[in-house]
Amino acid sequence: MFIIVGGWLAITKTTISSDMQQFLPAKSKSAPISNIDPLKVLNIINQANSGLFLFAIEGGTDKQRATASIQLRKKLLKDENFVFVNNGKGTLANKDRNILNQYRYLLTENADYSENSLVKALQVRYQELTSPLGALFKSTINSDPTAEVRAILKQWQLGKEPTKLHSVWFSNNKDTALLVAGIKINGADINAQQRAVDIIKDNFAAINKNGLKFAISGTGVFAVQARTKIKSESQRISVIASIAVMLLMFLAFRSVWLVFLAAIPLLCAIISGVIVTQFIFGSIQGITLAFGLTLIGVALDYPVHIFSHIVKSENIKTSINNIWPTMRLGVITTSLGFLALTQTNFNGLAQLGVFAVAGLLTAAAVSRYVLADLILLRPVRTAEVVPAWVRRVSQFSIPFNVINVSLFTSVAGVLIFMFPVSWESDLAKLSPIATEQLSLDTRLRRQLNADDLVNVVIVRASSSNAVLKKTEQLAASLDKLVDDKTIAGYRAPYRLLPSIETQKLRQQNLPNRDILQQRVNKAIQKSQFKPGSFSAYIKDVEISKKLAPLDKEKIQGTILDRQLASMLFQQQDDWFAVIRFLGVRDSAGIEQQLNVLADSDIAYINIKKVSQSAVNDFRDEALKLIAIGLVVIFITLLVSLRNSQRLLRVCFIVSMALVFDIVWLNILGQALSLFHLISLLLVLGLGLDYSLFYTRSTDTKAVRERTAYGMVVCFGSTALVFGMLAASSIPVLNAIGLTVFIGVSFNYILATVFSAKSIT
Amino acid sequence: MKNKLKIILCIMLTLVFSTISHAENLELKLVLKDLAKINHINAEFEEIKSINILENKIKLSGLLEYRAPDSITKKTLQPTSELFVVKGNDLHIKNAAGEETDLLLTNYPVVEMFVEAYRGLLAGNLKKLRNYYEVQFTGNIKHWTITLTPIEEEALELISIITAEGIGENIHKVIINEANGDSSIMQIKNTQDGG
Repeated sequence: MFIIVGGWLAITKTTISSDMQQFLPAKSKSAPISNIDPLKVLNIINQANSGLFLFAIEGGTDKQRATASIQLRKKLLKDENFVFVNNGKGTLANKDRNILNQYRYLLTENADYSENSLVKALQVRYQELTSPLGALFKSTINSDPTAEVRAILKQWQLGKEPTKLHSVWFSNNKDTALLVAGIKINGADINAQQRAVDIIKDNFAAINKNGLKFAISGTGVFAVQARTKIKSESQRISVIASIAVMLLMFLAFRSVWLVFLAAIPLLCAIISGVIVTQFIFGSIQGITLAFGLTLIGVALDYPVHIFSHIVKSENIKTSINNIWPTMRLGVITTSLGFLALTQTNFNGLAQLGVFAVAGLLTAAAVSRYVLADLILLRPVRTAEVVPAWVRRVSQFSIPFNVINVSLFTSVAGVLIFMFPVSWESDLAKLSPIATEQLSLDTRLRRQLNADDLVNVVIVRASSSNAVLKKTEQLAASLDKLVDDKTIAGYRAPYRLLPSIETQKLRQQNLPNRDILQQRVNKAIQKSQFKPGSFSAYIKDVEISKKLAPLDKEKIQGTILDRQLASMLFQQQDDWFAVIRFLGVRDSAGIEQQLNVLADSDIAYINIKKVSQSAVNDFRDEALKLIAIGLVVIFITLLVSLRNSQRLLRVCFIVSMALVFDIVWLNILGQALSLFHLISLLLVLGLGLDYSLFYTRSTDTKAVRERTAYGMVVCFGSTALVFGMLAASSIPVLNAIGLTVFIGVSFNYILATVFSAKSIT
Repeated sequence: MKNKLKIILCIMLTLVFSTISHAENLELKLVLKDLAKINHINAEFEEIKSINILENKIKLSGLLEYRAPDSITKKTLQPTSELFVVKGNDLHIKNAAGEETDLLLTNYPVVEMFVEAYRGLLAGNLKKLRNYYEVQFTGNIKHWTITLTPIEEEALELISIITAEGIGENIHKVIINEANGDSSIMQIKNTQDGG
C-alpha cells in the first residue's frame, strides 16, 4: 500500500527541474568583491540564451528556401509560444516604425541641430538624391533631412546584417536560409524548450513541400538533445540491465518470487528518497534523482544478502537476525557518509545527500522487517548448495599483515605518482551533444552575427531606468574598446532605449521652432532645395520637444521590447543590464577597461571562467564533504566494531579500492568530474558492505560460504549494470559506469583477498 | 441575327488583337535577341533629373559600360564625379566625397529593381524583366519603344513606368517616371560596340 500511495505521490507531486546548471549552487561560495554575483549572472545569461533558437534551411533552390523561410516565420508568429521570429523580412512592424519615427529625436545619439550641420546634411541629401541610389531616400527627406531614422537603425543594429536574397537572410554562400526565433521562457525550462523545438519542427514539416533540409540550434536545442539522448540511452540500458540482473538473480536463487522481492527494497528506497527530498526542499532536481538512483543502487544488495542466507535448517528470521548487525553497520556508516553531503549550501549536493540517506535507510528497514514475511508467503527453494567454485573462493585469503599491506599501498602510491589525477572543469566536455551539432551552432552564430557567448558586462541598479542610466556611463569606455579594435561592436540596452534623463536632455537640446526655422531657411539658401521643403521637419522637432519620454511601458510589444528582453532583467529588487559583444579580440582588454571604473555595480564576467570556477567550487565542496564523511564513517566503525583488527581491515579494503579506482581511471585517461566523484560515493558504500561482511570473524564455514555466494551475486549484478553504463558513448553515463565498475571490482577482489578467516 | 453578328465581330476582334499582340511579342523578342548579341558596350550618357523638392533640374553626364551578362558601370563625371558599379549581386559605390561603399543588391530591393531593368534590357532577358515588370513593345525592329511597368504594388508606389527607346540594337534613351512626379531622362550614345 505504501508503495502504491507513495509511488503516486512521487509521480504526481514531483516537480523535477532538470538542468545541469541547476545542480550548481544558486550563489557563489566565495564572497564576491563586487555587488554582482557572477553565478547569479550566469543564471541570468543562461535564461536569456535558453529561449533563443537559430535555424537553417538547406537544399532545393534559393527561391524555395526563401519561400520556406517566409512561410515558417508566418506560421511561428501565429504561435503564442514565440516572442519573435526574424528572417530579415519585415523585422520592423508598423508599430515599430511608428515608435522609431515619433521618438527619433529622443532616441538618436549624435544629432546636431546647428546651422552648419544642417548645411552639411542638405549637401549630403542632395548627393544622395542625385545618385543612382536616390530612390532609396526620397520619401523621408522632407521630414528627416538629417537622416536620424537611419542613424537610429544603425545604432540598434549590432554589426552587419546577414546577406539577403529574395528579401530574407541567407548565408554568405547563399546555400542556407537563416532564421532566429525567441520563445517566452522562465529560467532554463527544458520542457518549454522541448515544446518549442517540436513546434518548429512540426511547422516546418507542414510547409516543406520540396524536401528541403532543416536544422535547429541554440542552447535550448542542446539541452533538449542532451536530455533525450541520456534519457533514451539510460532507458535502453536500464531495461537490458534489469533483465540481465533478474536472470542473474534467478540463476542464483532459482525462484521467480525472490527475483520479484529483490526489487521491493530498491523501489521503496526510491519512493521514500523522492518524498523526503521533496518534503525538505520543496522540489527535487532531475539530476539529483539521476545521481540518487546511482547512489542507492547498493539497496539491491540487501535482499541478496538475506536470500543467500535462507537455509532449511534455520528459521529465516534467525538467519536475518544473524546477518542484520553487519548489514546495519554497513547501512549506518554509508548513510552517515552521505549525510555529510547535506551540510552544504550547494543545493544539488544537499538534496543528493538527503535522497540517498532516506533511500538507504528505507531499503534496509524494508529488507529487515518486511522481506522475511514476504518471503514466507511462498514456498522458497533454499540455496543450500553453494557452487564449488564459490566455496573455494570463500576460503581463499592472504594474511592481512605489514608486508601485504605495504605492498598494496606502495603499488598504489607509485601508480598515483605515475598517473596523477586530472580534473575536468569544463561542463561542456561532458555534454553528449554531437560535434556536428556544435559546429552547426558556431556556423549559424557567425552567419547571423550573433553575440559572443563568453564575454559580458553586467550592470546592477534598483530600477529599470536606473540601470539604463548607469549603463549609459559606460558609453565612453565601450566606444573606446571599439576604437581600440578590442571588440568589433557591442550591444547595450541604452542604445535601444535611453534613460529618461538622457531623453529629457536631448529634448532640451532641441532648438525652438523659430530658431530651427531660421537655421533651416539659411541652410536651404546655401543648397539646391526649394524653400519650404522641410516644414515637416520643423514641425516634428517641435512636437518632439513636448513628448513624454519613451519608457518600458510604451514599448510593450515592439521590437525594442523584444530586444531589451535579452538585455534587461529583474531579479527580486535588483535590475541587471547585460552588455554583450561582437568580434572580441581581447577579453582581458575589456576587463581592463572596465576595471578602471572601479564600480562595484559594474562587472566584467567571463562566462566560461565563471562556470568553470563554479564547477571547481562544486568539486572542492564535494571533496571536502566526502572527506568529512570518511572521518564520520571511521569514527562510527571505531565505536561500533571495537575491534582494531577488523577496523583496520575494513578501512584498508575500502580506501585501497577507492584509490585503485581513481588510479585506474587516471590510467584510462579520464579527467575526473563531479560525476566520477559521486560515483565514488557508491563505490564507498559497496566497499563498506563487502568488507564488513567479509571481515566477520565469527562466521562458520557454512555461513561464510553463503555470504560469499551472496557477495558473488551482489558483485555480479552491480558489475553488470555499471559495466553496461561504462560501454555507453554518452560521457556522463560512461563516467558513472566506469567508476563504479572499476570500483566495485576492486571492492570485491580486495574484500575477498583480505577476508578474515572463518571458524572451521 | 444581331447577336450572332456581335459574336462574330467579337471573335474577329479577338483574333486581330491577338495577332497584333503576338506580332508585338515577336518583335519584342527579335529586338531583345539583337540586344542580347552585344556583349560589351561603351557609351556616353547625359541625364536630366527633375526632382520636386529641388529648385533646378540636374544635368549629369558621364560614361556607361556594360559587360555581359550582368556588369554595369556608371561613371558620372559632371557635375561631380561618382562611380556606381554593379556586378552580380555586388554593388560598389564611390561618391563625390570619395567615400566607398559595398552593398549587396538583394538587400536593397528598390535599387535592385532599377538595376534589373537595365540589365534585363541589355542582356535581352525577357524572363528576368518579367520578374519585376509588365513588358510592352511598340514600334518596329528599327525604331522601338519598350515600356516597363512594375508588377508589385509596393514598387508602383515608387516607379510609374520606365521607358526605353532604341534604334536597332542600340538603346538610346531611358526615361524613368516616378510615382511622385519626379523623372529622369537619360540619353545614351554608344562610342564603341563589341561583339
